[in-house]
Amino acid sequence: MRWAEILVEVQAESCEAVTAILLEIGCKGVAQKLEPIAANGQWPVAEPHVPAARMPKPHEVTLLTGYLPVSDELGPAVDIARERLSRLAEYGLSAPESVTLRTVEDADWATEWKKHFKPLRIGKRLVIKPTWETWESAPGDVVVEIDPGMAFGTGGHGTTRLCLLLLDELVQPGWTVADIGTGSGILSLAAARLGASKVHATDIDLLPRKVSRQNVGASGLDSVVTVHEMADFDAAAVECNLVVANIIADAIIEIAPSVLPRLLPGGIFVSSGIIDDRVDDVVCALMSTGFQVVDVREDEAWRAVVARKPIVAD
Amino acid sequence: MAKKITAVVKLQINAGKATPAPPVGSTLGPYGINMMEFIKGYNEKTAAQVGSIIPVEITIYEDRTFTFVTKTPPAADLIKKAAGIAAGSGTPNTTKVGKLTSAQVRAIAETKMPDLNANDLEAAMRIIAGTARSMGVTIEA
Repeated sequence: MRWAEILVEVQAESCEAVTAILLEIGCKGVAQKLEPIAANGQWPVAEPHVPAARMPKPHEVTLLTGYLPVSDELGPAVDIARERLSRLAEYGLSAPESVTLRTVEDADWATEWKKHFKPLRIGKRLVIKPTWETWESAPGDVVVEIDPGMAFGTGGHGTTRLCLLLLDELVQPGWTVADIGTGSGILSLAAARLGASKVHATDIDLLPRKVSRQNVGASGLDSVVTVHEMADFDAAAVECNLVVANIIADAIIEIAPSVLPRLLPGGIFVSSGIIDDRVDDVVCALMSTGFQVVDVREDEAWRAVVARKPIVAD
Repeated sequence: MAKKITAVVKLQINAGKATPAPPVGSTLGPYGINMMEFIKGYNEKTAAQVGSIIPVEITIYEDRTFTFVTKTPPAADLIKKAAGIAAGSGTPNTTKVGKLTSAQVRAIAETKMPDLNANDLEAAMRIIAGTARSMGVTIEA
């Protein structure tokens, strides 16, 4: 798909009005680059979450960029935007200094970050290797090869890292593992490489199911990892030693009652993708479902909860 | 751990519905950060506000990691809510669709003050009133 960028140079006092106009004509969002707070105009070395940028002052000129898909409706939409932008002075604001239209190709940014995705060691044994990179394994390395495409799961994110470290600690040879919200398939592949004899994976979205199947096939693990359609997963993923779900807090809370019967007595549920201020909600939901919560791991703002199905029901 | 900042960008996008399409991909892709990581984090953080535009300020570091904070809703959303309208006017010079009192303008200006970087509340109110008029919303004294 091709996209059109509408670049509007305008005094900052009109940013809110310009943004509203761009969104009203159908832009999927508006981007603005901010300036450093520092008087020298340089970006500083800073601790995460320490404010380093400032909004422009009302009469400073700033650049807003809106994006519209290129279609037959583009020309009329841009005409409407230009006409409305030119009238801003009538409402006590500044009219834009310039309005420029240019087209950009979708593929440019979809793959740009891959250039920077390098092999990544997680813990002592696991190595996450993009398919397009090379890696010389050391003895004991467990190499997981993936091409995440547009699916979530590169190993670089705290939620995925937490799951990988826990799988490395917990998975025993011969185990049956289920992976809910598999994304790129990274956790399923890691479980298989760590010795699981059967891994059942699924994802609510079609794209990750497709991407994870490709990664399973490329890794030669088709006999161990099966990426199921949602409906098939329910029947297949039973008598599991471990279930991992790297999704979000609300989804974990929702699926917890259905995870418990999938596990063998003493089986483990690793849930991740939980932002710090939701971890108590997840822990409460797991406990009320009948799990024993045995550990909570942290990685920056993210949390992973390790829960166990009681060996003997209360 | 302190890290060198490469850029700070502000995106105004739909809460809970971020995708790799523009402006997310086009803005973050060139910095080499994994946009899917941002998308997951943003959608999780804003899941309860689906249907609204929730601005987000993303700080990108030279090691291609990033942090983000969500900001106050756009002035247009606050204006529509205060005026009780679903949308602004497509022809605000001729068709008026709602009105705000100056007290409502003041309240919105106070909410938006951190993002407007105005020198004082009067200046912020002028920006909010102008934005409202550009949407076909009149201001009552």
